[in-house]
Amino acid sequence: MEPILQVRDLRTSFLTSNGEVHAVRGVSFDVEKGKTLGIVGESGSGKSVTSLSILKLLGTTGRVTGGSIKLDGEELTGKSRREMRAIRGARIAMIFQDPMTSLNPLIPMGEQVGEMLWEHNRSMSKAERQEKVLELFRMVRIPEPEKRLKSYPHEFSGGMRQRVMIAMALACKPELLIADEPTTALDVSIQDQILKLMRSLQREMGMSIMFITHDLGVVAELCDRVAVMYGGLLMEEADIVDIFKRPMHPYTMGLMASIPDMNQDKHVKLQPIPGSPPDMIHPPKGCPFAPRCPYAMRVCMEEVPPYAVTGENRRSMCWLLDPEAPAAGNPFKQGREAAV
Amino acid sequence: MAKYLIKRVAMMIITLFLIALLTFVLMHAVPGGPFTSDKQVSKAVLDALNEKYRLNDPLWKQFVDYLGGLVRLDLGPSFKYQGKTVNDFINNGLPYSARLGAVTLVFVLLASIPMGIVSALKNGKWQDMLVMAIATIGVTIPSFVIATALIYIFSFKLGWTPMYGVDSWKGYILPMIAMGGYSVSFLARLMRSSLLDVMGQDYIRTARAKGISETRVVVKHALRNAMIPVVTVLGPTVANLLTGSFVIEKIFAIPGMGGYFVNSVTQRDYTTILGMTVFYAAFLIAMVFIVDLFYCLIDPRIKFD
Repeated sequence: MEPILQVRDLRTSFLTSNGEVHAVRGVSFDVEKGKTLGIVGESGSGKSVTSLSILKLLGTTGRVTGGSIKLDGEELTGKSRREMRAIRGARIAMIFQDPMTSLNPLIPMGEQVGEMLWEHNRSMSKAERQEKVLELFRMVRIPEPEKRLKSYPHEFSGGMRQRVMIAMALACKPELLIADEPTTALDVSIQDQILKLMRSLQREMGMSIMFITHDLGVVAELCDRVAVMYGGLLMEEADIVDIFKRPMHPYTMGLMASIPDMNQDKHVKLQPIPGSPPDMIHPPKGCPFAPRCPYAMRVCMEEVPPYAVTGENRRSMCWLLDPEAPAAGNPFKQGREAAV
Repeated sequence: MAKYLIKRVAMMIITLFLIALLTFVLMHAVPGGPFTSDKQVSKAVLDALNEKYRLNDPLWKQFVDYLGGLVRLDLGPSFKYQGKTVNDFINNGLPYSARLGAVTLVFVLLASIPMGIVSALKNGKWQDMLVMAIATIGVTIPSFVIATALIYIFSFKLGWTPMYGVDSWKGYILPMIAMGGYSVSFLARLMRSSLLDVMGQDYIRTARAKGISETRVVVKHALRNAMIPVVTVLGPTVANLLTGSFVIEKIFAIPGMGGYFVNSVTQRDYTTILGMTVFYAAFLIAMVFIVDLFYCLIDPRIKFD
């Protein structure tokens, strides 16, 4: 089956007073129909910029400098503003990180959701629209939806606002939902509710989700497939079970080691990844993770590694996976030899 | 709501009382009085004058008497102009000042807000540069310089507008520009920075992600939010414009309130100083109050209390 979203060699830059920031430097991935792709990475890895590039919401300073983005086989990069507007909201909808600031404080909730319907279906009458908004509010389980139509964002809790954001995003039954850290700003208990809601709505509506997060725990709960980003590059991509069973990139391993485990011995300390992300105005010549990588070799600083196929339907960008890489102290080679 | 209004009105009365008290004390703290003169005036005349205007009473009694008049909206007789009361000055001057002020206010709003919007939306482009250049000139050059330049060009050289007076509608044009120049520049800058700030907010990105047109994003989602800081400064601006400008009224020979106010200070005309101050303060407080009511209309997060 053809993927709903096909991104190939996407490159996005921002022009700033300090120079050109190469936020995304050639990223390729697919989102399969009805499935959820998790894009994982720390701040500045380029994961949010990737999603904003798809919708062309980069603002005045950002632009896509290369690559291809296909929605259900239809190329998006050459689309005009007007053509993109017809896609935003209707075919690709987006939920943002902070529900406290993502809703307009001066417009009632019902109207903000209704505007989405109005924009993409002008033939709908006002009464029909109101009925549909009520239905959406019920769908995302907002208590007393009739009363809530006229409420303003400040009268809602963070979790309720995110429910409104989801209702708004799903109003036009989009083929693809991009969720940019939708639970990061919420309490843990609310996070769980929102994730469950998203999962059940996905099952009901059969849409595809691109889920951006820095939290591997959330990925494990919701995603079918994971793409790990770092320094504007896609480091590793694999099915969810495979990546948790056996990460095939030192960065993925580092991310996993930094997840707290409830059953873990109290005396075992969490392992943070030392160092900080690269400067994206002058991105490193080699692997962007090399300066922080415990396994870094000389070649890692010199050249970006090619993708190595590390199993069925998975790949990773690391010199350790090169056929010529030394076996001694190589976390990936030992495992493979043992398997053979 | 009712409770809030009562509280606000009580606060307004207390404020006005304190302003009156402070003005009264300061006025009397300065040596000399309204009848101090270069010319020798016989003691008998001076005594008679002081007696007539009850300046021989103890100060506290004078103040209480004044407050008594104030409650009846009687601001007292002028000490300097025989047979005239301070109420006369306001009744004569305010219509001129207020009419010019109203015209100027409309001009200020119609000019500054579109200027700010264009400037913000064309951030860094030539339109923005042009607006900001005009705004810088408007803020830095004093109104009397602008007024003089305007009279020279449009009245003297081109003959399009009268040199002085407001006998025809044309007479309002130059004073309006000269008096409103500062407010236009100030509000245009404020509108620009406020709109730029709003356009960078997350909810604007949400609006764009809905696929609505950029015009709708600006009009429906950004402008109302961006107007909030502008509305804040509008209260004092309105009060300032409507009560007249001494300089502008002097240059264009408009018999407004500004002239009475400034003259009363140099002439030590006690009742006029007090009356004008209290009137201006009351006006300003009322405008700020109206602005606060407007707030509640614009921003649902603000409640009465």
